[in-house]
Order: sequence, then C-alpha cells, then structure tokens
Amino acid sequence: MKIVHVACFAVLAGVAVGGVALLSLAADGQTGLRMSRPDGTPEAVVDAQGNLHVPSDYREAYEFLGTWAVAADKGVGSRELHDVYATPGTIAAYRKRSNFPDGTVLIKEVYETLTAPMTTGTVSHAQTLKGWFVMVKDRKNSHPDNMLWGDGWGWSWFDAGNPVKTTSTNYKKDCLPCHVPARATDWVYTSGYPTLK
Amino acid sequence: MMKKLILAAAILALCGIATVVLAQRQGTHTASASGRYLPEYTKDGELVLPKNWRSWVFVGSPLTPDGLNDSKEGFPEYHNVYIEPGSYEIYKKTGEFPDGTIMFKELQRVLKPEQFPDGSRSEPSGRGYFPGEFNGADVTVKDAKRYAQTGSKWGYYNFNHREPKAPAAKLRPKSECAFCHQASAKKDEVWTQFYRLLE
Repeated sequence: MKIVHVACFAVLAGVAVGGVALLSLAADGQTGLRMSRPDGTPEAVVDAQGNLHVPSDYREAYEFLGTWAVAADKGVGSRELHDVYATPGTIAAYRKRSNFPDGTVLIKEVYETLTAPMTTGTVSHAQTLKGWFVMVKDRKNSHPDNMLWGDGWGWSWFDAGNPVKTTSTNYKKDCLPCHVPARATDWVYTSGYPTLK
Repeated sequence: MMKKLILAAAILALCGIATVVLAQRQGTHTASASGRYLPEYTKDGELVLPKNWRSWVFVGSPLTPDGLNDSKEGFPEYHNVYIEPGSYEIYKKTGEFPDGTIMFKELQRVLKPEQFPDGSRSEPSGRGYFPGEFNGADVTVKDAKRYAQTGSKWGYYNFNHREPKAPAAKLRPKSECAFCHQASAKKDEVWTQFYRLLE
C-alpha cells in the first residue's frame, strides 16, 4: 500500500508540475505579446529598371495613414473614398524626423462608393476599387532615365485590373500637377494625415 | 497485485508529465506564432484601451458626415476600423474570428470649417471631406464565454466620442450596440459586407 501511496503522490506531483507549467505559460503569453505584425519585411515594390507595382501584401503589412472623400457632384455624400497606406514604421519615423525615409512606399486606393441611409446615419462606404496610386521615396535619384522618377519620388497609377503594369508614362504630366499645392511638404499632403502628427 | 498497481501508477504519472510537456509545447507555439495582442482588463473588469492600434490591419473607413446627418449620427464622422493582426491571421486561415479578437474603430472628424451644407469643403484637389481631428473610439472584443450572459459573443465598449480616449471602458448593454450588429452585420456581428479584406 505504501508503494501505491508513493505512486499516487507521483501522479499528483505530475499534475502539480503541469499546473505550474501552465501558469508560467500564461505569464509567458502575456509578456511575450508582440504589438507589431508577425511577418517580416514587406514585398519589394520596385524592380531593377525602376518599374513599380502594387505589392500584394500591403493591406496586411502596411500602416493606414488616412482616408479622403471626394464629394458627389450630384446627390449626397461622397463619390470616391481614398484610403492611404504606408510601409510599416512610417508613422513612427515621420513623427521623429518630420520627413519620409528613403524607400517609404505610399499607396492610395481609390474606391467608388455607395451612399445610403443606415442605422447610424447617411453613410458613404467603399464599394468598387478603381485602382491605386503608388509613390516610392527616393532621394538618391536612382532612375534618372526613367520618366516615372524624379523630384524625390517614383510615381505610378495602376488600374484595378492590373496591379503590375502602370498606365502612367510621364510623372511630370500624369502625377505632379495635382501635387503642386503640396510642394513645400515634399509633394505629399501631409497636413491631411493627423496620424503623422 | 502490487506490481500491477505500481505499473499503473507509473503509467499515469508518465501520462501526466507527457500531457504537461505537450500542453506547454503547443501553448508556446501558439503564443509565439500568432504574436497576438489580447484584451486586457482592469481589476474591476473594464477593458483597457488597446495599445498600438494604428499599426494594426486597417479594414475600412465609412463616413457619416455631420452635414448629412444634422450632427445626430451615432458615430461621427470617419470610422477608421482596424483588426488586431494576430487575430486577423487566424481569421484568414479559419474564416472565424477567434476568442480574443479586437476590432478597433477610431473616430475622426472631417476637416473644419465646413464650407457647404453637406459638410464638405474645398481643397486644392477639389470638393470633399478631408481627415481632421481624432474623436475617441469604439472597440469590440470577442469572447464567447466572458460575454455569454449579455446575449452576444462580443463585448462592446466606448472610449469616448472625443479626445482624449478613456484609459478604460465599461461593457455596454446589448440594447445599445449588439442588437444592431446582430440584426444586420453579415458575419458574426462584424460588418464584413463593408470591409473587402474580411469578405
């Protein structure tokens, strides 16, 4: 009988050890929590010739900067919503140095919207993706012969149907004119992103 | 007889240890692979304002401007919605929001002053609604057990509709939040119909 007692004690000890192990595990889980994304570096956006493409992982890997809404010409609400994303770490870097580090990628999604009365009010929400604007920060003038690079950035627009081939041919004609009012802030409407403040 | 008893006890003990080791390994793996940020509560059971939501996965930003709603909309004005990335990874694989999922809706005013009756204004790019001041937040947390008595698998919290956001928030009653999500949100009380990434 004595041996049985010893054996029972062994079982109990095992359970006790298990309990302690689980407790330490829970503690571990708390302290080991990571606030950033589990995956590593995001997908490259530029090839050797300076051609840009829309990375497939940006929605999961990038940080959200802000949304702009274009008012409807007829009817109420917004006809387009523009959601803007930046490579991971951009918000923290901009807050620290007040500019975008080389290699920063900005992606603006352009959506057609649907506007309708709902429980929480008359709401416009993103409906159909029209395409993307992509900008890549480049102080080194990496592609002087490429018509889509200059003024410190690489520039391109992509139709929703083709995220790998741009329809832009010359950034000075296709892109820059709309950015002129933001020239003083490196061509980006940074005042529209309170996330960067 | 005694030998058999000893053998049985030894097997039981070994099983116990094996279970412990297994549980520990699986647990450790889960914790490190998902890297989730899980909800934190105060000792009074209030939800602590989640940390670092602006580095989470953004899912969409519907807009209910003051100008179109007599300033009476429930959630003014931009609704910037994020999901905690570790939970999103699990959702992507399983199609279900796991317990511990946090959805964070940060509210943001449109840029003032308004210039048109619909609340819009003109900027160099044209007439529209531009992002302005932050304006508090609403947060949901999934935990089927914790919230079971509320009639929902999710807990609903408000961290003010103004800045600064409250450091912690009380659970809201079902009649205030959950009923609307249960009636109209497409999947598990989440408005996946408005968030392409979650569809």
